[in-house]
Amino acid sequence: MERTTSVGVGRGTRQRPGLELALAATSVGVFELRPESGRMRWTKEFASLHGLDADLLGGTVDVLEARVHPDHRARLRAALEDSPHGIHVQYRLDGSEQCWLELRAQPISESDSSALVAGTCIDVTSSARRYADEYRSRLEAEAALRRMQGLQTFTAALGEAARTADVIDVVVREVLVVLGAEAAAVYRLRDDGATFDLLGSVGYPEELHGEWSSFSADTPAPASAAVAANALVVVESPEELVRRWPSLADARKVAGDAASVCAPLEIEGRVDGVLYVAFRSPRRFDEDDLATVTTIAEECSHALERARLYEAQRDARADALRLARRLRALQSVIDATLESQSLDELLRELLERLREALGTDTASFFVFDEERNDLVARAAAGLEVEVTEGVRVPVGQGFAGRIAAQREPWVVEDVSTIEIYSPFLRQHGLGSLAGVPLIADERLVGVLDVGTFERRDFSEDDLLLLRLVASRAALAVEQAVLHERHRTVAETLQRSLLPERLPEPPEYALGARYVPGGAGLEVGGDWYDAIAFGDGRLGIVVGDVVGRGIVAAAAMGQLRNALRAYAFEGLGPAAILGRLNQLALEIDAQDLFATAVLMVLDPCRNELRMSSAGHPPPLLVLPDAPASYLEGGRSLPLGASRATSYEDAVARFPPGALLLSFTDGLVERRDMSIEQGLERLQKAVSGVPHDLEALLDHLLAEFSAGEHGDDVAIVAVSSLERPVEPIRLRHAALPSSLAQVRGALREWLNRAHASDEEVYEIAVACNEACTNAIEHPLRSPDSAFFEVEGTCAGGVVTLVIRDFGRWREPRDDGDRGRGLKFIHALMDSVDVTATEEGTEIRMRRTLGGPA
Amino acid sequence: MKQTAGFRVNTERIDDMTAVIAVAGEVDLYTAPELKRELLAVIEQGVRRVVVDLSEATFIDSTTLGVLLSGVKRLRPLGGELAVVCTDRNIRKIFEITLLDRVFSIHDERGAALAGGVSTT
Repeated sequence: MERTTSVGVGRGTRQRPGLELALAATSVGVFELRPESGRMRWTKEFASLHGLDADLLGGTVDVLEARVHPDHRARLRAALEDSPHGIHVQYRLDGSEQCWLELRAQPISESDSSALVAGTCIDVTSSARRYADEYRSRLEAEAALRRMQGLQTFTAALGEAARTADVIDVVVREVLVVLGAEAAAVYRLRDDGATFDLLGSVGYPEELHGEWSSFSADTPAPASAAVAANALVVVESPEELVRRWPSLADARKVAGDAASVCAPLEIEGRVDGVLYVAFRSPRRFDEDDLATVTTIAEECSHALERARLYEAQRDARADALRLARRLRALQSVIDATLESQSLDELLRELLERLREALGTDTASFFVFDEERNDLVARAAAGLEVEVTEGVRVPVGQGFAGRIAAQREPWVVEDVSTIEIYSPFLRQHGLGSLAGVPLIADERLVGVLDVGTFERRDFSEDDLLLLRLVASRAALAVEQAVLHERHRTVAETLQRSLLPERLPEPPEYALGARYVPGGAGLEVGGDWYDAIAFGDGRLGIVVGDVVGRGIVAAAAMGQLRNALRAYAFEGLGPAAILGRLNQLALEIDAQDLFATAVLMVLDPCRNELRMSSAGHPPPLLVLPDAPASYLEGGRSLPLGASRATSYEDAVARFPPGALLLSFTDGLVERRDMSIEQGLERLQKAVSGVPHDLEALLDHLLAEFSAGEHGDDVAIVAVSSLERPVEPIRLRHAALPSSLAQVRGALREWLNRAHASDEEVYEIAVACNEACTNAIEHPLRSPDSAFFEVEGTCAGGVVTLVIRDFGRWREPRDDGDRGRGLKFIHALMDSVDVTATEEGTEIRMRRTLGGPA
Repeated sequence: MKQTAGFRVNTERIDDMTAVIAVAGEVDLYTAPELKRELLAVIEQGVRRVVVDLSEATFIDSTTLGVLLSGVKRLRPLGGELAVVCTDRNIRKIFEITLLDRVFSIHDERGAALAGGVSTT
């Protein structure tokens, strides 16, 4: 069924005369297509645009397709087949490079099922060309950008290439990337200008490397031409290459180069190499390509020059370093002897340095034992087993033995030719040995030797170094031996004088530290001691004998022992210091001068009694109060003056309090006055810590000056909390007081959780002591009373019964003798102190234990 | 009689030769003299068998032991003897500490003490 022509550009648009005219004027072809049959009708313009017969205004899809360029027929057919969805397609006409047409169409819906598609055709040749131009220029711009970026990468990579090999590596790779080349090589012209040497290449087969790794500058080749002309040599085809350099025909076949550019590498007007860039297919090089090669060649030249300078510098520096290392090794050997360390450390250090300096495998040191007339392996580097096994070599035997006997250096290049004494030396199969005697003050100190597993010729230089080391070492060893002996004695003496264990009284927690000063070989005279009196009192002393070394340590020991003795005599702190002062003045002719502070802590009275001989004040921290220094009871140091009188001071020291006593090493530093140090310490200790050990560690870490500081001794005591407050009773010295004392004591003991049996027995013991006190002859009427003090801490009950009468020795068979027997039997410890003032009985019993 | 710490001494004559001195409360330097007076009084009166009953005593001290020993010392030349009644473990220990448990015959109850014979310890 046919219809009248109905053409339009839009759905349902009917053809109008005005529009048809306009379309004709702009050479727009109009067409319609019946997709089912493939039949088309078109206008004259459409036929003209397609070069079809203008008289036949219609035909089939095939007729149209025949006019289209073969390459575009498929796309046209696909577009037409899909026409019910509309058409938009561009295609070229056959036989014309230039003519592009575009079809646009829309389906026109009719009432029945037969579809009709109608649309227009216009010539889009000009816009297609413009698009192609734009496309090409975009590609070119992108290529230029890539090249530029490539060059930048190249320049950056070159900047990082320090060595020649790195430079070549970067250059040949970047050439491939930037230029799209397939092979590249860099040659350097030797200084004489006669030979090219290959520095590096990429993209060539192995077999070419041998022949072309070096070649004469006379060889007819692009490289020679580039150097001669100091200009680019460009070859665009294999034919051109063979025509210009016929002798390269064979090489070209192997290399596969079809086109190439060879650029001279020029530095400061001198050409010293070439960059060769090759392609595997003929190529016309444009100006950009050549400019790029020139740029790369320039960069390459600079980088190579830089690399050459760097390498020259590096070699020179390596030489200098080798020399310096040798000098330093020598210096280090000398320095090692100057530092104060233990002899073994010194020797090991010395041998390590010697071994490094001489590049030997072993270095050993033997000490001469005068008594046994042999050598003992004392230190080794490389053959440590000789030391651990304590190898001894008799003088005169073996290698070291002969050196010791003859006191002359000896070099053995082939060890197998001599008798070797040390089994380990034989076992390890040393090749060569060199050794020298160590002589100090014309006395043989030992033997120093070095060895190598490989046989080796020791140079005069080596031997000189060995002798130098030996002579330096000999003095140091001699000195170190003396120092070590001295230091060991002093340190041992001092350590032995510090308490091995601190007492562990129930009422107090104790901690102490002693840190020897770091400087020099001598030890200091700091000391501390803690004395537990059987009665619950605790004596703490911290002192500092001026001076160092054995003399100071010995003096310290005397003072310490004397102090202990005086303390057990029952003297108070001031009296003890007075006695110590007299002792210090008498100890020896040397000026002995010492500071000390002595504190006696009394758990019953919750107080401390102290006296100080010019010592830094102890720090006291009372519960809920800021730390303060105990400045009381201060006098001159011990040994200062015979006229010094010492005084006691009393301070409260209740449970929960902390006492810190120390030597000036803790608070005195080079960069801080002692006042500043004391202030700092006071601020650092706030409150009473639970863990004394942690406190001490913290204080040492915070305040000790470390290796170069003075000695530090520090003692910390805290008074422990007690289950019951101490009891204090004071009664008239009358028999009727006894029942009251027992009653109060029983009540107090019950609060202290004593068992019934313990309450009974302690009451009996106390009753006996009180009975004694009452029966003592009175000194005067106003001394007619006695005191009972009791404390309980850490499960230990301590009672002090004090009267102010004259002590009367108990009769053997009397009630009083029996009373003392009770006390001894019922209590763990009993001390009776009788003084001018009166008598004091102190007794203790551990609760919960056997009586 | 002293009133401190519940101290009491009560003497009971069993027959001409026998007396029991019962002590209650605490015996110490203050109260012991009363016990001593009582003890010396019965010996004075011809009693040769004295039983000191400490069953009701709560505390004795070295003075108490001294009093008892002085009693023994007086009785021995007269052919008499002194026995002690003591049940309290703590008080008994006081005797043991001083080894006086070997000097006195100590009994758990008054009847045994009056009957004489071997000490129960």
